[in-house]
Amino acid sequence: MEEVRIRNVTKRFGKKVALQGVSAPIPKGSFFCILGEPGAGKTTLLRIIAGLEIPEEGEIFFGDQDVTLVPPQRRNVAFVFQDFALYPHMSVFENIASPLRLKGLSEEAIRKKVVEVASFLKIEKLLDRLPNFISGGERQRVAIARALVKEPTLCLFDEPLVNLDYKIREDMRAQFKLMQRELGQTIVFATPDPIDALSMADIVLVLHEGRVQQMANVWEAYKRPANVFVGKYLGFPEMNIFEGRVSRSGNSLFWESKGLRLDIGSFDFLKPYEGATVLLGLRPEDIRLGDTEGADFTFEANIVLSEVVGSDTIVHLSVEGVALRAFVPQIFRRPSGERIPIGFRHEDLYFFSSQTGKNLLLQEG
Amino acid sequence: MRRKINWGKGVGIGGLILYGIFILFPIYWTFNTSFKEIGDVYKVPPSFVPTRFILDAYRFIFQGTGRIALLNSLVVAAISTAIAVVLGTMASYAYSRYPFTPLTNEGAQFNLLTVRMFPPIAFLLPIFWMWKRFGLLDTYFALIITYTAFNLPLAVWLLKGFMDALPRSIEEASYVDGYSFWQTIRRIVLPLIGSGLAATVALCWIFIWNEFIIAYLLGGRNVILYTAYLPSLRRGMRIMWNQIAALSVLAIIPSIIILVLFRKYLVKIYLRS
Repeated sequence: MEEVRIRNVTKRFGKKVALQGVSAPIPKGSFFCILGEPGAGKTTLLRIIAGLEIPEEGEIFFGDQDVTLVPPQRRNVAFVFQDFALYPHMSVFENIASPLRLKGLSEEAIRKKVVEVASFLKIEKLLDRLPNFISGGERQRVAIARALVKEPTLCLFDEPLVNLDYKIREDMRAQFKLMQRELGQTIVFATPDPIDALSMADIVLVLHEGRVQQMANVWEAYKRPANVFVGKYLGFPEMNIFEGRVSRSGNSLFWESKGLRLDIGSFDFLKPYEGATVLLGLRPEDIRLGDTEGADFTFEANIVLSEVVGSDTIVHLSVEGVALRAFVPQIFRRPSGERIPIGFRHEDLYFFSSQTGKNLLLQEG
Repeated sequence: MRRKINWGKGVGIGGLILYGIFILFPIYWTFNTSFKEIGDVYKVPPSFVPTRFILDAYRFIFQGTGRIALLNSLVVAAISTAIAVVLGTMASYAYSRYPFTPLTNEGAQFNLLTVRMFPPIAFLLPIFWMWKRFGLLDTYFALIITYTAFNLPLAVWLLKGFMDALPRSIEEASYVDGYSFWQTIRRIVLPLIGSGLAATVALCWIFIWNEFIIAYLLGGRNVILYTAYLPSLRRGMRIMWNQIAALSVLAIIPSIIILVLFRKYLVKIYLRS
């Protein structure tokens, strides 16, 4: 019963609205990811949960208790700051021991706990060092150790991977997930990076300009994005979006834009939109290149550019002058201008309203 | 094989030696003079090395008003510095963390700084009349408050730089760890601005210790500071150089102690600004 609930929280800074009517339950033991662009209100939401900010409207519940006005000292939360916020004048040991010092434990008990957490995070060799003399990755582990040693109800992470270099970041994702699973610790994790959400989160809350766009199981949100914003944001590379008209021809419905024409007769929910402009979404990773067997739609495309990213490739294509990106999970180098067949299936298509941006599939039900 | 001579280094060291002599010689000469009898002071040629250590001048300073003047200076400088640093710490914290209230916004901060932009003498006449009207002229209170008024902007301005450099998240981490505001100030903020505090103490102290006009105008009879006492060391038309030198040697001591203790912090603060 240690679920945390955010209810209808609104926060303004002067005239700027940072959060607008945000509600969310955070189940115990979950890895809860707040995803959004810089300035979307992620940090503000975390700070409100921690008690570092007080919302203008709405409440925060820890279990049955309304903690909206309870100061951070009495919330039993831990916060890993973006800059880690280690105490530079204290040793790593003292940094980690800091939350324990107020609990009236014996020196021996404190040492035991600190060493336990430190060895769990493999930083037990650093305990005598000062934070300014260890690496960024190590500093982060110290910050995490300081959070975990408290055994908090809720562990809040504010973009902890942003300050790390690429290699460590990759490594940390897996470690985060394993750690969370092993400890059963409830984690709320704010990040601007969709890969963080997809690789670690159980539940994702997508924020945009202070409003909740969608809150769902992360794969549910990936498969059934609530709107264009979630569709584009939750995924890498970004979803291809095309604008086109729904029109009837003979017995079937077609979605048409310049260059593309798709038979969408099997999508019953699109019937009411006949004659309307509708946005079509197509994830780069759903486009098959070359081998189009099993595809429901096939086109001939021109390769504009093969952009190799690590061991993957983002292929920039052009179909009758319409630009789109495809994602190939291997190195795929082709000369520009080469023609290649591409294909995708019915279930790979997403349709959004051109006015509200809402997902038309979800709109119906 | 010819030894290579590094001319640049040689000139540099030579220059430093000359500069050292230029700076240290007056101090040495004061020291030398303080051990002379007044008759020997005017002797031509002067003796460059003290032949006998005559302590008459020191005796005079210690037995007379000189001792009281030095003690007064110590008391006034210590109390005023303490007040300026304590208030300065609190004000600079507020200026750094809450710069949006009417008392701490940019305008208010600038107002405080302007006190320091004019030479003290520009304000001294009104300050003199104010204390006279209050009947507080020539009291510890008037001197301490006046010095504090001049030192506070300096303290705030120096300490605010250190406060600004202190990330807020460190304080917030301490709150999340469970520490109260005052515990956080004591555990986190004060230790981390320690070098700033040391440098501020030193600069406030030095300002008071070297100050003459305020000491002369606002004190002088009941509460006489050593800088105001110094010019009175005359016998008729004769200036008692040996006594002046003895008082000066004694007066240098506290400043030297502070400079030696806080040297590295002072360098830091000069490099910063």
